[in-house]
Amino acid sequence: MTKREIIVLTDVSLITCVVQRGLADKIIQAARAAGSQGATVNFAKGMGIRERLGILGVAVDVEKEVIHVVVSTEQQERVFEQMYLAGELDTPGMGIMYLTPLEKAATYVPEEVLQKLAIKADKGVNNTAKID
Amino acid sequence: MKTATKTKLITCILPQGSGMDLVKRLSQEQGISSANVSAGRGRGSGQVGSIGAWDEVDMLTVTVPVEKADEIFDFIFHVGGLDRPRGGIMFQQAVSPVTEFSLPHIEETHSE
Repeated sequence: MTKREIIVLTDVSLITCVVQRGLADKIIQAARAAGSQGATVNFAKGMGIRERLGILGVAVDVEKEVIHVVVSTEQQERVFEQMYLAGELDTPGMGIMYLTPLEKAATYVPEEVLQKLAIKADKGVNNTAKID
Repeated sequence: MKTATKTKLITCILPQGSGMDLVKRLSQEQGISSANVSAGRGRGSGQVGSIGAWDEVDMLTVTVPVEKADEIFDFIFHVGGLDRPRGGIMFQQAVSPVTEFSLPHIEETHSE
């Protein structure tokens, strides 16, 4: 019987960002440049400030893209800030973004990364949660 | 209103097509009566460039009682193939309160 093990990552957070359709790619590019590893996008419909803008509301798309990015807590501030700036979320109607702490995450971790972490752990550096 | 407080939300990003199979197995083998699968697109750490960098993905979300959370987390990890390259990612967070939903036990009937 083969041994199966699970590498659990802790100290990770989920950044969720809701923006108008078509803007996700630019924001994900910024997130990756800031150090995040991957992203997932799904479509949605939303309402918010659009309904309060009256005739000007036509400038805000009803169709949204919801971006999910898992990051280590070490990186979360930097990635969050870069995504915020890329999405121009300081402009009304552009979208909303929030950070959720995660208890744990799991994915395939390549052998060379595990070896690197093991070396750091031997040196007394706690890096079990690093996913970069 | 019937709610539960000690509940975990497990979210799993899987390759397209594997979400519903996993829901079926969660139902049959773990007794999970409610789970959701939605579609999306995702890119992982190994993908570079813009052409073909995105993959179609299934996003599975399931709420589980805290005492079964670890068991179901491991189950999804292995059955969903997350231990393989490009298998996806999964994570768990605490949620509270959560509405409780339980189905009455009904014997399955097989039509010929």
